Amino acid sequence: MAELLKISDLHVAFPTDDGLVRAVDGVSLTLNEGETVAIVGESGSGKTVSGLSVMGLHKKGVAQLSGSIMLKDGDRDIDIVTASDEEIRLLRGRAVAMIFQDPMSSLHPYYRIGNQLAEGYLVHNPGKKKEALKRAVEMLDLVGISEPAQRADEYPHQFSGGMRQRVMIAMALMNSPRILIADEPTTALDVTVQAQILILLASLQKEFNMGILLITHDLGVVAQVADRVSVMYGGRIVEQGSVDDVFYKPKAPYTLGLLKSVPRISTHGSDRLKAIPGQPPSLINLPSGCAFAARCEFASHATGDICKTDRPELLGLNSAHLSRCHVSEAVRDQLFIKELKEVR
Amino acid sequence: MSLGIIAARFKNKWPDRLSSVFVLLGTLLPTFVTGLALLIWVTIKWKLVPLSLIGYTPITENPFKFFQFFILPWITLAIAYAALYTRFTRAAVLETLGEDYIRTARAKGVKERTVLFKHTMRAVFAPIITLAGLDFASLIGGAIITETIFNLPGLGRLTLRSTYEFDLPIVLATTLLAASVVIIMNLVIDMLYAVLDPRVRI
Repeated sequence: MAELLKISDLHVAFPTDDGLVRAVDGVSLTLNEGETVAIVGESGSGKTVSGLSVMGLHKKGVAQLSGSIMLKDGDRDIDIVTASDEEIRLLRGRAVAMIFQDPMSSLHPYYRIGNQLAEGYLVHNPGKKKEALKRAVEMLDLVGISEPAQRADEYPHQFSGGMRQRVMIAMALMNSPRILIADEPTTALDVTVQAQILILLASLQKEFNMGILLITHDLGVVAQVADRVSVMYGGRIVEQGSVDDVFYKPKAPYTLGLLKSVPRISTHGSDRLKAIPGQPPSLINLPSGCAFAARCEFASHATGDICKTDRPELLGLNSAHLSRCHVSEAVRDQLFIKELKEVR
Repeated sequence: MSLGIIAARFKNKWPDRLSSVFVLLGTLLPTFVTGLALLIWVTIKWKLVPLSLIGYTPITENPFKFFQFFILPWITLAIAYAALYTRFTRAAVLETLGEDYIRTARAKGVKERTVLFKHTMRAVFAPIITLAGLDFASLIGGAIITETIFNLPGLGRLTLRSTYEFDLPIVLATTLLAASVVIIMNLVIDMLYAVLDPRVRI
């Protein structure tokens, strides 16, 4: 499997009047072809910012980027962090495409669907208007929109939410990109429509052999479609591994907290959800120690005050399953097994 | 309008600052100041337009002279309105540039210039047309001060004088005319809306 995307030690910071917001703080991950990698985390954990970085959609001068984002474009490897605006523009839509969270506002209300789709093709194949429109209709058909030729002449407001998300997917696939970044593609949709969209994405992934970077906060979605997962907290990855490892053998206290807070069908109506206590940290003044220390129930198992003073590294006995925690992995495994039994 | 687009494109850089100065001056200076200033400097000091031309010649008699008469009042009103539109366009462009569908366009790899002039301007036109239609209606109703400064026999002055003289039929007629123009312009705006925005079409 060829590696399509390699993010190494990515930092993204936004200077504001209140101070420097470190939205992404040292994220590394890889994406291979035909694979779905999920980034999970709560609001403000840096997952969307990471996705936008890959598209080079941060404003130059507003966002401060460092690290590297190596993107495969044919035989070339391009670093998005250092590439020029024009180079990145030529990659967008062709090598890497993105689906956004809210399909209701992500389509231009004044232009016909067909033209909006064709535009993405025309940008990279100038002058081929006829082919672009033909391709637009083909793609609409592919994403399961009936009577695609007629629908292409309609405007976004004539489409329902699920249909619009299908249109967004069709738009992203106009140039058959190798990498697709899906930023919470199902968040704004009904559960039944969610399932349809996920199935559609999975089948298209097979057809185009794409690598999908799925950004979400929905653990159910991750379990359904992802191969590997990175859990983000406070701009950092706190756990990274295969979906099975992360879901069945979580190593980071935060991941355990997330899993425990998912409501179960067997939960009695009177039982309270086991939410993680406290609030996520401010990204302006991240604590000097572990970002999760203040909310962590296992901090007492670490030696001394190390959780409050030192930043844990992303480590693991198994190199495919990494986590950030000062408590030794063996101790965590024992503690977590007990906790997980209670939940399941 | 173009100044507004430029200002929005280079937000907080020098073109934006420069245009804010113009906007500030244009909104601060009332027409009786700019009009008089133009009259004094252009006609009396620099003699670019002969003084005797301040007045009016019907367009049917001498189109060239007609335009000569109107150039100064035009400039006077233009300064005030241009400032207004610059500020308005800047705000509208900035707001639209933050929309999700603009991000979608960028994600497609569309050139920044196309993003600005095609995707953004299409959405900005609607509010600008509303403003332009209403301003047009109120200008037809009479720009009393400008008309007075440049000695133009305009609708505004006519209304004013007739009011002083209790010339009821004339006041009635001009009021009715102004009101009709406002209503007609509103209709025109609504129809233009339908052309611009597919969601309004029936």
